[in-house]
Amino acid sequence: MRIASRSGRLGPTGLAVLQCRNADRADLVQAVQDQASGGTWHGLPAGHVWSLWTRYACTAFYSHPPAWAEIGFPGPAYPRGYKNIGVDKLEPYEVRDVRPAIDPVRKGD
Amino acid sequence: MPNSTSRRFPGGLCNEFDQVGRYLMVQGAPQTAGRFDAEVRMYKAPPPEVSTEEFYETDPAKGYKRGFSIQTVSPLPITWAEHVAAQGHWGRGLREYMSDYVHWSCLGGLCEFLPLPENRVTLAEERDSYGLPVARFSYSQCDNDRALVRAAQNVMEDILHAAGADEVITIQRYAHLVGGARMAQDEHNGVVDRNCRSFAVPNLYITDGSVLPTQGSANPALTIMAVAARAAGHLTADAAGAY
Repeated sequence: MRIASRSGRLGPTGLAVLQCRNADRADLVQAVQDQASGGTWHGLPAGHVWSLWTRYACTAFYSHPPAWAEIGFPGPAYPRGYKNIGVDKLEPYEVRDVRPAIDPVRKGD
Repeated sequence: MPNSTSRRFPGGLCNEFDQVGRYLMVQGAPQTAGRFDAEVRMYKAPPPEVSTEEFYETDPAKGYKRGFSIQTVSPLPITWAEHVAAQGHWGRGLREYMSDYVHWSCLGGLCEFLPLPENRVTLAEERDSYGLPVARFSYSQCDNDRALVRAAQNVMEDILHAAGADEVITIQRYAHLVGGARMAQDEHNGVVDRNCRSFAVPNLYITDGSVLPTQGSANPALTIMAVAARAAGHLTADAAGAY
């Protein structure tokens, strides 16, 4: 599989992934996703590879408290529990979304 | 059971009438999430905080048999990331989308897929590292199954829109594998009788989800436990009668 290189650093023999610039890494990853509906990646079903990778990566990343803080999740309920359940209600230790107008879904509108 | 062969059961234990392994069932389990301007913080109400069986029974006015239940599912961050990734996002885009977590609320459907004889487990030619044949799992959805999943998604989208969501996203999932040694009136139609005793071998009982002849549209764990407890009651009653 040939990968077009944005930085021009990916020759016919390629580079180790860790030597790649971010743009080239993104191209490598994107090439797998582009094959995910029925194509193959190094002889493997690309859809399965993509599903496995993304789930492993998300499981690792969103296991960490800094990632929880980034999305407004205050951590597991235990042992404190929740006392303010409901729309727009916060626990004393929860922080309101500081940029509520930024909605990734509507970004393209 | 298919791998337990003998002179009496050349096609596998209790399989004289080609019933073992048939009528496997899963539930269609699509999950639909809606985006609200308000902060919902769904993680504070673990599943199923609210559920409905309004759509559970066969409705003659609909073009499909049986139905589905709807419940809140409220995925935590790791599982929510699976919803977002299923929309095609990854990397920076996924993190940005994930940062909107507190604005989302998520519902799940459990659709009663029909029992079909061709949905079954058999033995493959391939062997595992112990030399045992591996299981071959054959499963296809019928038109009714697909219609149920579509209907459940439509209902979940309607509920979320009615509540004020302006965007909805859906992932397709499947849950709760049961069947394969179903309870029946006789050995021509199933593997065990009403007390979970196998038709072929009187001192063999099967007490897990494989005896379920239909799927239902709820988590089957409590039903499986109730059926097993009932079978245990018959076992102890038989034992008491023997002395």
